[in-house]
Amino acid sequence: MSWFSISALVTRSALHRPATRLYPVEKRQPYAKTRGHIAFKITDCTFCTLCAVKCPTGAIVVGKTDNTWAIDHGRCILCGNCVEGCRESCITLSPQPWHSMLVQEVIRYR
Amino acid sequence: MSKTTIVPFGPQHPVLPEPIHLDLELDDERVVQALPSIGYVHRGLELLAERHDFIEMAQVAERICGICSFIHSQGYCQGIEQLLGLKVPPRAAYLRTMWAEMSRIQSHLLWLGLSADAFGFESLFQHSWRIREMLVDIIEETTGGRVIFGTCKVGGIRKDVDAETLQRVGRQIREIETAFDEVANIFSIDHTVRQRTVGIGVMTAEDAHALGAVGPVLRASGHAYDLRQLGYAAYGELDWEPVVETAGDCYARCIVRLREISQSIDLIKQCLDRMPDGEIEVTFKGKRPQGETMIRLEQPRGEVCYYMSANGGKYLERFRVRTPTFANIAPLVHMLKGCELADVPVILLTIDPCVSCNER
Amino acid sequence: MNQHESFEEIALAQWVDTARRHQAEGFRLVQMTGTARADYFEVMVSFDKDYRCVNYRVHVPREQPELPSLSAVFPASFTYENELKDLFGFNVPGLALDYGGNFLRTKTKIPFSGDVTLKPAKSKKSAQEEG
Repeated sequence: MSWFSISALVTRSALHRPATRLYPVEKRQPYAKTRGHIAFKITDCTFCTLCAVKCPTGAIVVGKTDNTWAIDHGRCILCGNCVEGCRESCITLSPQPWHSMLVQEVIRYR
Repeated sequence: MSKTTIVPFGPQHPVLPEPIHLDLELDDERVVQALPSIGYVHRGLELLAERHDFIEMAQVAERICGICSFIHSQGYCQGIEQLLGLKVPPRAAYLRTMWAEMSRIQSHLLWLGLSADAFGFESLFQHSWRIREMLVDIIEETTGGRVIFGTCKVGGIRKDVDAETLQRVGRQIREIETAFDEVANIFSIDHTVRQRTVGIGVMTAEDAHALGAVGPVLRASGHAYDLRQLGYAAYGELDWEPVVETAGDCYARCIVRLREISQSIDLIKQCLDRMPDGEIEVTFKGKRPQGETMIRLEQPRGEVCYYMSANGGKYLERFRVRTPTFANIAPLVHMLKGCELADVPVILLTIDPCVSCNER
Repeated sequence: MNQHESFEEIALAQWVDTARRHQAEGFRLVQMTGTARADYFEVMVSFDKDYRCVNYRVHVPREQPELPSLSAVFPASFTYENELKDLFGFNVPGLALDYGGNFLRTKTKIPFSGDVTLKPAKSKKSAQEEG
């Protein structure tokens, strides 16, 4: 009677509602701690370049002389080193994941 | 002497999660000899120690493999902590143990699904991965990432988990346990599963010792050898025994992993009950690692060795990882001799190959 | 938890005898590591029994990178010795299963011997090139 247990499981899951989500109608809500994407506020930035130095992949590029800050979302691995290093707290880690990219996206602030 | 045919197995094959190549020399459906050939995902990660300083290297070590990522970073951090002479606070040790056991459960559940897929039992594959989703949601809630946890750092852990979340984790672990017990019961008594795995790929206890097998492959042949008994992190203070089976065939290896999942669930419950309060990290401003060390941990697949050598600079001189799949290649070659062609995927998956760890 | 294990230095002539002695006592081969130091190669081997690990180190000169094989003593050592051959360019006479340098398929042969250098650290060129 070893087939009985798998039949019970299969019948129950056939009658139950599906375990999958109806994406894109239903989107998954991330948790508070989820590492989604890097969000940046240019207003408090002092251009000390600490975040660019700590970034292991080189995703953040800071221009000290012309006051620009750029991040390449394709290179960012969401390690959080820049968030911990920023003294002015202008970099935060937001839980919403970045959308899928077809081309390389570099977001620039001045 | 009869002629033999050589059939290439891999690197693309439906049962393989990662690319590995085997040249099977067949004598009319029976394997005479198998020659493995690796290197499809060799990224030279050990050389990256010269480019990233020793604090950042913890994040590189985490990304050696996707399935066993947390234990790689834990091993790296333990090695650097030993070189610096640091002692991690107890709360960090217990949280690291809890996450390591969660990593072990999700790895074994992933393996269970792939192994069921290898002998064609697709619905069991999907049910075990459905249970794995519940676990990965807990991991995301407590650490922030589903696969790459990002919590281990030199000196402790990065972010604390509050008491309310830990209680929620405890409740969900009990739900996972109920769901998993049903699937484990099906796996162990089902007639089809037993037909495909009992008596296949037998390895005796002497062969397992002589060939240097590690992990569940060694424990299924009768040796009670589990490196968590060394007592690193919080394992010295918890109650548990290594899981051993004696048959040495594919069925025994599967049963060892199923029992290890139940053991890990029990270890997580013990950790949650005994979680101490306090600090989560210890600082070490200005110190640099000096000397050399060899750290051994128990990954889901077996024994992993980290060798680190430093000379007081910012970068490590040598960082070497010897992963368990690399040690299990020799037993695999031995087991494949004399088996049938249809048993090759089953045997290959019962050693649980993690090829991206294999080649770093 | 601190895992203090011994690191001992032995001469190249004692390589096979040390392995044979440990195998007779019931030790298990754990790993073999190669390191490219400034003027010599260093090969380290580890044996383990009952959770205690002993490590032995041997210096191999760069001009003559030869290491006698342990395949007669430990049959499982063929994977480690083939990897040493592929990554460091060693010559290992007596290997049981010799792949002849093709065990690891890499684009540059012998990458770890110190002749291959990494590209400059953290190339930020592609982020800056975007304008």
